[in-house]
Amino acid sequence: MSVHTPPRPAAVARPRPAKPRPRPNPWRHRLGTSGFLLPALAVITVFYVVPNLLDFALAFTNWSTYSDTIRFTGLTNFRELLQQGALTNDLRVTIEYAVVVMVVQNLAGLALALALEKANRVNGFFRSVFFVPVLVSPLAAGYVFKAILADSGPLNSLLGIHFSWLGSPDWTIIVVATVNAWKYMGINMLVYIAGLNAIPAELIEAAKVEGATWWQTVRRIKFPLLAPALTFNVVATLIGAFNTFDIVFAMTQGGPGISTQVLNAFIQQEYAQGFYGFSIAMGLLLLGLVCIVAFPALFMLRRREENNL
Amino acid sequence: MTAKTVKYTLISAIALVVIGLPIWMILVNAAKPFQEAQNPDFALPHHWALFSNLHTVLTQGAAGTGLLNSIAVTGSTVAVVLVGGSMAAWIFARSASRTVRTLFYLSIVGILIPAPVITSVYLDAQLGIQGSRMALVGLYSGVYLSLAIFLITGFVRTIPRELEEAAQIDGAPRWRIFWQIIFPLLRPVLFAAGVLLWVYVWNDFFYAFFLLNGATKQTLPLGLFSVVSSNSHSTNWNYVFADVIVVSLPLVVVFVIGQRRILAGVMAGGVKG
Repeated sequence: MSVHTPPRPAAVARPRPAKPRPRPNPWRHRLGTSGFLLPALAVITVFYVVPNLLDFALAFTNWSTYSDTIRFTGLTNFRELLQQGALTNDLRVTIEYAVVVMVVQNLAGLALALALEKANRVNGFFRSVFFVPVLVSPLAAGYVFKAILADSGPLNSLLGIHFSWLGSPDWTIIVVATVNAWKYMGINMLVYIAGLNAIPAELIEAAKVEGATWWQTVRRIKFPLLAPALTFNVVATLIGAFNTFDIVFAMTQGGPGISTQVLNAFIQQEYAQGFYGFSIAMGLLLLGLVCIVAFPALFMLRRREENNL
Repeated sequence: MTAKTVKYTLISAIALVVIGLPIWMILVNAAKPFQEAQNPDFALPHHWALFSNLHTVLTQGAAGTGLLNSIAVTGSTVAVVLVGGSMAAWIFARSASRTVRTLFYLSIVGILIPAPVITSVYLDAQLGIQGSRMALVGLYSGVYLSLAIFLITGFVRTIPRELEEAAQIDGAPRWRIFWQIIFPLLRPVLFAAGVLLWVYVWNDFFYAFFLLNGATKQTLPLGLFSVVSSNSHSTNWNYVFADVIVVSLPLVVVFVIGQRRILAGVMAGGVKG
């Protein structure tokens, strides 16, 4: 998944050898190959592939603490999700959340990158400062902002207003998503800086000589050339935000009402109440949502890589 | 005032509000005794209780065991992922076989698609490791091997083959070629991937919340959650903020010491990844 793909020496070294390389013993060689792959593939298969496959089986069962046997029940779980209204609400909330995160986090990251683009001591200091939230646990960040944004909390008294940041069915989702953006904008900043630094300096120089303003160079040169970094950041923030849990759990637990109940919050809630199959069915929908964004992105990135080779 | 002065005044002001204020919030409220911190605010404490709060969360709370468990879980995950990942990445980068290529794509899917959490619990029960730290290490490794393999494979491709070929002709066995020639060359990418993994795993609450059972096994974020939910009437905000310090400080200290290398490493990882 390259954000930008510099001409790589590896591309030259890649073509298949014309003659098979000297292999003292093909069987031992094969054995060696699988020996090196085995540890990683075994762990991935057991702890990642198998649970994903189990998802597809158990989502269609009545598995719960309330029944002794696990029985195939077809689409019952999904029908119930739809009837309960959880499906439409949580899907809508999750997408809304992800879109706000994607916009705010990328605008913030891009603005920071443009401001701190040049590598020098002062910029290095500020880059580090804005990277600090990345290191803070999202759960901890959630609690800190819950305290700051409380109705009788310090932000309201500092601004002299009485706004219910965490109690509004309309605005709280945006508030929580903004905290998410605050926590991860440092990563987007770094990716954009890497993208900006890969732009040939002559291009910018030439534009300056022609009398282009700062904004013109940003709009006409930097922004178009940041396309790969932008694609990467958009995909990464969307997928990350679809899977959000910690921040929402710490700040609102899905409330007020169910206005911030993202998919993972519902999954946790149903799991805690013992409705496992039901909960897994929702997990499958989350997987579908991720795939809708992930697969086109994968194809795009692969094509770009192939064009570069 | 020059444009530069304006720019950096503005950036400083933003940094002060956006980053400084939340940190200030953590520090002053972690330093307040219980009554003062009931409605946490930006005011300085009247009575300083920072060390007694930290002492309480570390000894009576779960932060002490949490620290040890977090180190054990994160350390094992990073070790498993970097060693297993670089072994596989070497083959992935060097083999032209179609099967190996397919396996490569299959093993990096985890970058985009997360592990499902409830069926992981189910699986752990079947394996007889439900609720254990090992189950959690297994899940983290299963997911994050994808990222490590992707980053390391890209890096191995930039290492010239001649180095290995010379050794191969001399008849050195493959494991020696790997450990003595390849693995040491991977240091920069292992550092970058290691930092990313360490941050993800250290801070994870979601998976640990589902997979771990029992107070003796909880990691730092789970400990923080138990501090928050320990008092059913009101939140003990002084302990919550003290615990936030314990969860965050190790990473922040390491970052401050190695910030230039870490940012450069993450950026290089981001460019490739």
